[in-house]
Amino acid sequence: MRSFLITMLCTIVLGSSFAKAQDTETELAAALAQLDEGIAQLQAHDDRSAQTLEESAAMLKEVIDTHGYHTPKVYHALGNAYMLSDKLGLAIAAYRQGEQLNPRDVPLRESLAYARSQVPIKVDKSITSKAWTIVLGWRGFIERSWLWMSFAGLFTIGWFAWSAATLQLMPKAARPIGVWMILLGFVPLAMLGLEWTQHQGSSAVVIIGDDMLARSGPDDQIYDPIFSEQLRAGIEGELLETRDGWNRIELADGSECWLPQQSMIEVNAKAL
Amino acid sequence: MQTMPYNRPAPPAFMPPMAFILVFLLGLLCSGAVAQNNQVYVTTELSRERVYVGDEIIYQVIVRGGQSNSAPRVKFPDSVRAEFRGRSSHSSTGIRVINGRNRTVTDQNFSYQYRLTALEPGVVVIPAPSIEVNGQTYDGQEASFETVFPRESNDDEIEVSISRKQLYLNETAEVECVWWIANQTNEFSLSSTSIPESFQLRGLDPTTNGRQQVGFVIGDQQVIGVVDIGHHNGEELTKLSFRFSITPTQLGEFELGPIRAVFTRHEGTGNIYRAYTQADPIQIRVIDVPTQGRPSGYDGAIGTYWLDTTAANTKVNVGDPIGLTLRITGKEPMVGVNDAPDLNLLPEFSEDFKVSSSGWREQLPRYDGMRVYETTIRALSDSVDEIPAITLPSFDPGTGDYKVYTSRPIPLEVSKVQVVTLSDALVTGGLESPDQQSESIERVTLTDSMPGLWAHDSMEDMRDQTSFSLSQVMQDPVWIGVIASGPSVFLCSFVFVAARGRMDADARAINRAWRTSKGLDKKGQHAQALRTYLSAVLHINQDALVADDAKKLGLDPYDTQAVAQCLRAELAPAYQGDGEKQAGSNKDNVRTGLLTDIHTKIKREGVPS
Repeated sequence: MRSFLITMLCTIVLGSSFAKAQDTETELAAALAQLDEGIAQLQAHDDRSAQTLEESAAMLKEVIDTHGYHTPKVYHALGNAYMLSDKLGLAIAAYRQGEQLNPRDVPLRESLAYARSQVPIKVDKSITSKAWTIVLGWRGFIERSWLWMSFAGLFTIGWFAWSAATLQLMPKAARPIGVWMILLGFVPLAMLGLEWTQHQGSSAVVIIGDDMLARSGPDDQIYDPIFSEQLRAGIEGELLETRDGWNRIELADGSECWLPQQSMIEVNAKAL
Repeated sequence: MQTMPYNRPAPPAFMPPMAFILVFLLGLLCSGAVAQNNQVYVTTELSRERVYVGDEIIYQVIVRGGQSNSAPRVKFPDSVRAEFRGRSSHSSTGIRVINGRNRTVTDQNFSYQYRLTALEPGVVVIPAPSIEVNGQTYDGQEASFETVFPRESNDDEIEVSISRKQLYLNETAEVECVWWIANQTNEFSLSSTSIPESFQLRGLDPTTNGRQQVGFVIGDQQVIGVVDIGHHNGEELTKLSFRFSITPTQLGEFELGPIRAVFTRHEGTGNIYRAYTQADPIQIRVIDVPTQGRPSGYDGAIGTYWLDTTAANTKVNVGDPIGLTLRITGKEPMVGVNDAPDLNLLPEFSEDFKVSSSGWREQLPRYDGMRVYETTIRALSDSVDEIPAITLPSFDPGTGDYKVYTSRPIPLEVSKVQVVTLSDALVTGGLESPDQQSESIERVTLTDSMPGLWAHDSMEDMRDQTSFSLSQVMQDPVWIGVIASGPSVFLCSFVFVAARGRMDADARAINRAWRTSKGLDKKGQHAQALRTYLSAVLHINQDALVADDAKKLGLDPYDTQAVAQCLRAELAPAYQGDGEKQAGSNKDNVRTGLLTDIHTKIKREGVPS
């Protein structure tokens, strides 16, 4: 009797999780089909394409938010849907989210580069931004998991070697070798740490509103506009401070300004 | 001191009916709502009621009791030039009687300021402005002021000359002006000068040669003039010279001017008054460029231009994007150059290249005398060997002929593409068999409208969870275990070694002796240090230790001899005469590090049996 109950319980649990996975797959397939239809309509200059693409973007967002389907390819599809429905800021945010999950995804990176090229205003990078770009230049070439494995391997083997030398199980030369391996192991860890600080753990934002007037303070009546031109959707920055519905952000050239909170989206927020 | 508790008297047994209270409260709410609705009103204010032509006046639209995000709609008459100066807000606090009670009320007012310049004499009537506040439109009231000419000056004169009075559409002509200024003049303004709306005006930088420069505004454009001394009608006078260019953008007959200066004159008698002087207007005829000989693709460009193209990459595969940049250099204002030439209209491009459907994108901000455009093209086959020249037809008003300006072609190396990847698919699952592709495969991206976008992948690839997060692995118990295993093993081994040493009585004794010996050695008592250490190692009483015991340590002969000699020398004074004591005074001359070397050897090889 007891074994029967356990078997039933396991069947119910496994069955429900399988059904949930099936639901996600079905919704994702429907969203992609909608996106394909929108693209086909766009190619045929059909006026309904905008609505179809917006619906597909909403469906993909639902798959990501509700079902937790955070894969680089889904973000790529979401970015494409936003891009084709003229939501440049949201598209860049979606591509960046996907790119942060897998920086080595070439199509995703190129789509992101294309989306960035469509931003009408170019913000020159500051020396610090350029330095970060050089420091993190490995992102597109080296898998992050390899770096982590290198760190774990060197660190662990180094300690083991040192321990063996202490226990006189290995020659004394193993001790300096072990110490060097431990120190060397911190190099990939530092690379990962810097990358995490600048990307995955950063508070990067993308402007989604067009013709935004950036101000020198968090009020549009007290503070003057800070730039001669209005900011456009797709410009990226770093969130520094939030106050009274306004965000203080730093642009790539190092300049700081205040913009309404609803005019931008955080890249690392789950809800795009 | 204690106080007696105060007993509150019981309230009278009167309770108003509930319905009455509700009606009363509702009435209060309604009256408040009505009061709120009545609070928004719009007024207008003028800084003066009468003004001279050319002088400025401030016009304000004031919104009280409400806030609007949009500027008011005001239709200014043509006889004034209006410039919006921005919005300002201020709040005032006062006491008002509301529902029979004194209440402190704070009103917030917003004012929208305009600076008006009177251009013609007469009465200027500004229609009532309207503004949207909280979704409702409110109207202000009409405002008017009178403009009059000040006294006309006979002592001043403005001379105007123009290179040509018949201009082609979009052709630029220079206008030179000289204002001969009589003495005692200041606070001048040239802003009432009349310029046709279809003319683009542009101030030209003067040649100063160290002379004084003066800036002023004509037709919303900043113009720089030079102050100098000259002779006019046989009299030495101050003159203000300035130049500007005009570019007509509409066909027809137009009147340029009058160019008018309004100023303050100080008479020798102390009399101060406003005065003006003006030049006669100039009639200008604007004609279209000739149709005869007009090249195809002509888009209104006039003058001389230089074209330069650069490609981001010149070694590409078929279908790879090539960033193409076109620089058009010419003389400002370059009115006829509205966009770069349409590449789809050039057969040499449309046959060999796929041109971005979004066309050219202008690089902003613009630099003086230069327009920079960017686009993306893709070679359609590997037989393409150059990016063709780009042409710009332009009309030369000097010769009356058309000319076609061209850039240089750019050599290109295009390689075939052999493999189609899934990312090249047009839509999900729409991948065709590679056999069906021709040898030269164009890389097809998501849509024609956005050629830089890569298509998303198939359903199977969507499941790919290839991602890594440092924060996640740092919280993973398995990885924490792996990372902690190394230091843990080391800690255990260290503890084990330390414990083993502590449990061995001989080792403890040697370590204790080693610490004592080190202290003695540092004090220079090398022989005593050796004796203390060796007695612990060899289990021999210090007093019984003799030089021959050094041989039991298994050291190399030289060190054995050194130790024996040291021990022997230390014992010598007790058994030798004074002369020999002198000879044995070098008993502590032991090699530096001998004791450490012996201890290292003992630790490494153990105590000799």
